[in-house]
Amino acid sequence: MTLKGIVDKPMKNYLYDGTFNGLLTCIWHHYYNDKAKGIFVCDDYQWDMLTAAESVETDDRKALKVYKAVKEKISYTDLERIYRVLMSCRDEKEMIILRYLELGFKTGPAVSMLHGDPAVHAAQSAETDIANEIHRLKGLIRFRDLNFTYNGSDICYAGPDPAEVPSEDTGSIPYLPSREHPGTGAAGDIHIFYSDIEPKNDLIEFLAPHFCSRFREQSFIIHDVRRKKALFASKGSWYIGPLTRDQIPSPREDDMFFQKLWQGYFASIAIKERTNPRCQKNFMPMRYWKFLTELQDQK
Amino acid sequence: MEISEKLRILADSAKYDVACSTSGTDRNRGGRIGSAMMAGCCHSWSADGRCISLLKVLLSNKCIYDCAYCTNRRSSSIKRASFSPKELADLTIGFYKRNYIEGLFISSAVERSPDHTSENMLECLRILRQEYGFAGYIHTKIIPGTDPVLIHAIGLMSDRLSVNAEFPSKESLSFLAPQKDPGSILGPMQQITNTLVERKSLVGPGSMFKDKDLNGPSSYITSGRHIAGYGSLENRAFSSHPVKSKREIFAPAGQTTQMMIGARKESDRDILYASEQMYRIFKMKRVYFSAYVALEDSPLLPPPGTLPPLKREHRLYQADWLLRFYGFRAHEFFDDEDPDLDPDIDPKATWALRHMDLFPAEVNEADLSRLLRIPGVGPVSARRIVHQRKYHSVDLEDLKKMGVVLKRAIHFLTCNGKYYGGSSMDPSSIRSRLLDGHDGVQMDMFSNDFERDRGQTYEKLPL
Repeated sequence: MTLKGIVDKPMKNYLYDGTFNGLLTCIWHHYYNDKAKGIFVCDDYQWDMLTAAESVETDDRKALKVYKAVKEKISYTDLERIYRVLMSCRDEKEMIILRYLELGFKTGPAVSMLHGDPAVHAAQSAETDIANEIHRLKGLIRFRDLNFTYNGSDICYAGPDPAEVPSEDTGSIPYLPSREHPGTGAAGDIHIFYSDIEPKNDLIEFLAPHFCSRFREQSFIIHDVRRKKALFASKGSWYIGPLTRDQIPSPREDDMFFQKLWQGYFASIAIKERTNPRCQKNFMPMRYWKFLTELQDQK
Repeated sequence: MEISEKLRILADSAKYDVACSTSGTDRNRGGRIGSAMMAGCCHSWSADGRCISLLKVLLSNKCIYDCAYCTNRRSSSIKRASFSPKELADLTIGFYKRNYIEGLFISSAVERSPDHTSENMLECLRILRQEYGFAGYIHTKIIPGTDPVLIHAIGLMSDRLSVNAEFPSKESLSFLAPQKDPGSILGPMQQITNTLVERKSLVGPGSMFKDKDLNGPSSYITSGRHIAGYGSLENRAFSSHPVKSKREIFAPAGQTTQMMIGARKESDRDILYASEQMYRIFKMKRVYFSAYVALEDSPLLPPPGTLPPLKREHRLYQADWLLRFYGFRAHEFFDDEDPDLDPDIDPKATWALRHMDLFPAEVNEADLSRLLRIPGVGPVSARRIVHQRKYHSVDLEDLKKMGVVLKRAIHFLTCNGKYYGGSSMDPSSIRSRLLDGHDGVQMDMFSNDFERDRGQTYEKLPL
């Protein structure tokens, strides 16, 4: 590139709000204004004196323009791919997406087949990473049947006396969508199955279709403890909302019974003569262990 | 007896059953709870590194048979227990709701008679499927000697069926399990395959029968009838029944079997020939191998404390994969002298070293079946190679990105005419280079601490 080229097209860092639309807006600016040197989430950005940085306000119309361009000029599959890459935990995933799209706008739908290209390889490996964790968690999530009761108007929890609980937490379990208890009806126990996880990637929404189709009559919460948000689901519908640890009541007694049974089963199914902890850890990395019912005594 | 005690005893009795796969059926059929996915799903891994995806238990371990190798044989002094069908169904649902498991693997010792036991198993499945609306994965072990009518009813409730072959030869079977006759094992296998053909839903193992129609008359097993001692479904009253509805599915994930490794003096050749028969005749999805854990004190068996032949089991599984996905035939693994696989090098590399006249293969020219024969190249990377060279030629860097295991493959291929594998193409020199550090990680996964604790390395069983 000539010096003139650099002067004509200054490069700068774009800062966005971490949303998909925010990123698409940055990509719009990359094509219509200054080229992007880097794209970062505002909150995480370390300011430095050498590179100009601009906070980009998310603009849904600009985002939609890029969204449509990707869908029409590349493909819908690639649109889904870049979304998954954004939800992954890769460093500089925004630039991985940008490089992928730059190539995609040149080659069209064939881009996903160019395995040898570094831009494609980076996107693929980020996507594989999150896809693997999604698949793994479909198996590794453990639900506990929690002590919720339904008092006829709102769901509250049947823990110790609410007076003993810090006031802002009293019964503040987010309301679950439910056809059976649409806000009125008989009081009584309802079963809500709760699971806490700490995934590397931001993936709880990708777990929703699987668990909703599996537990069609069950209300459940999958809580991403690290990101303080959760998937709330009941009878096939779901949403993502904020949730913190201290809002969670203790499990029911009959759940403790099943936990004990499962721990006993886990211990007796292993063949002593084949003991192989390395193989076990290979398949089931230890960072997942603290949430696994069967390994509670070994964490 | 407490349910927790029963679970402990009956899981302990079931743990030598190998199959735990939950793949092969993609389903969201009716029901109120449960689903199954094509890829299968593991939920945990026990301390031996084997995956746990199904609740694997016996309905009962009270057995009238006295098979020498089995912990549940009549003369063994272990604790006995039985679940009622409802107890097991409740346990399954309780575990399933908490996402501990992907489904149920139900098996049983022979309590009173095969039919009596199978009726109990069927009742458990009925409660699960019909009363609880359970649509998750169910793998049912068929008890040899069960009436075909019961087998059929069980098949309609199960995703996968399996009958244990136990041994690759009739001699071993009659020696170690005198009460099981080969006909009572082959009969149900035949019935299951024929029923799948009748319903046009036979799939077959791996990519062995890719692009072939398995659901024509040629797959129908008729010659086995006199071995089995009774007819297949065509002679039975209900075979003339049309399939009742589209939702009536019979064992959509097909059938499997398992064989024991190291309890008798069968060679690897015997075992792989028998496996190939299972694939070619019965079109089974899988044949599982189970390294024999010597617990029983019997003059017919290796003495207690003999280490389970894990490395041998591993090599057999590698060969089994080559049969199902790589177009290998069992006889190709063996020359006339040695009826066993080389324990130090994987079966594909062993084969390649014996056929160095076919190598090195040029990755930009070799066809798919030839690429699959290169050690270190698998079905996925072979397809990627074929795909990419339509656009531009494949070089060494590309191979790495495609997932080719270069430290093995490099000795057997050329990229654009260039050979990167070192100075000599001599088989013995390649062999020693392959042994130098290659495969170390992988083998380590299959050796076990039990061996290391005792300062022993793997040795073949003294048979």
